[in-house]
Amino acid sequence: MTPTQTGKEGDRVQPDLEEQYDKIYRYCYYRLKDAHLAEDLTQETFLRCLESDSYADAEQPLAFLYTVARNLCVDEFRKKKPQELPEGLQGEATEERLVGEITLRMALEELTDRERELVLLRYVNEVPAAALAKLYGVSRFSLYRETKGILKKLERRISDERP
Amino acid sequence: MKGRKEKELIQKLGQMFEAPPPKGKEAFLRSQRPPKLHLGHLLAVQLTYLPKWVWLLFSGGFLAVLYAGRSLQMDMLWIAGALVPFLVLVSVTESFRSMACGMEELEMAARFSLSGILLARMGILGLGNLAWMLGVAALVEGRLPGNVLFLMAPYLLTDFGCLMVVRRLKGRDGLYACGGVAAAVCCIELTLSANFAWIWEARYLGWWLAAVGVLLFGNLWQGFWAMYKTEEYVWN
Repeated sequence: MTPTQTGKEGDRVQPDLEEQYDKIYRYCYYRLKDAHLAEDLTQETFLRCLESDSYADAEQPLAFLYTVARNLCVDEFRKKKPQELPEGLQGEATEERLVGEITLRMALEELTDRERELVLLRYVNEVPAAALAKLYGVSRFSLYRETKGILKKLERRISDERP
Repeated sequence: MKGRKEKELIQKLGQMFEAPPPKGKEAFLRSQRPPKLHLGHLLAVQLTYLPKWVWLLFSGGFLAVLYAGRSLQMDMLWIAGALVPFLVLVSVTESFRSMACGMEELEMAARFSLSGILLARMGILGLGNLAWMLGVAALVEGRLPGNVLFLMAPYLLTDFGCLMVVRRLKGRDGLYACGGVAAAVCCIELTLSANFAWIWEARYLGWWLAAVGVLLFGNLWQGFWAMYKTEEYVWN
């Protein structure tokens, strides 16, 4: 799975396996909260896509990749309950940073599942808008509005908490 | 200001979704990467693809020259010079066989590019031809460098003609035309040897060297364009 061509966002580009591995893994970990399981499903995702003709012909290969990952996570979620994400914050932190992180975490918890997933995919995994729009079955404009709305919601929540 | 705040927020969001590092990533990626193929492997594979009759032909030609020279008391150099165009014919037609049979697109989809495969085949056959000529040149009376030049000239002339032909004519037409080129050079060689035997004397070696130099340049030029032409095949 190597890039066959470079292009602008939305062009049909085969995702690079190494680059996407971490992102799909992060997505699976976010859904399942289990590192070992997330890795298994990440590898299963890639194996299924590599064997699939539909993937090779897909207009948006990234959307296909995330669809497979999401479906695998849903199936796994139904089998077993995920472990709770440890609440502890890592590393040394100043008090201000600790408060900031807790605030942001609380703000994220107040979002819906869909909104949280959108934040992860759009801003953390940097999935192109065209692929995301295909994944969610919406137009790019409506996706843009939704993601901007989520960011505004988070900013408002964080600024409300500040003294 | 708004943009900067948004960027800071997005950066912090990345930290919220951090996951423990994956443990099996390298092993999985390694399992998905195709094993690297080296040039030696390409050459070995192309060597097995070359038909056995090519090497039998080379050996047969060599033995024919030997027989003509030793048993029939004929001039080995002239016989070899007349046979050399057919060595080139075999080499060129074998090198470009995939194009004659319409298989070049399949080779484009293989692990190596078509031009790489062509170069490998031409290289192997070229080395075979060179060994053939050196073997004959060593057996003929006279100085080895001079004998090599006398054989290189018809070789390079035929090669030049055949490369020009395969660039312009596709498929079997190209093969037939190459046959024509080889036959023409053979006839020229035999005619010259029958009527102008003096040009093979040592005092004209400078002219032979110049001719070989010009033909070598011409061959490199034709070879470059033949390789370049393979890139016009856009696969998928």
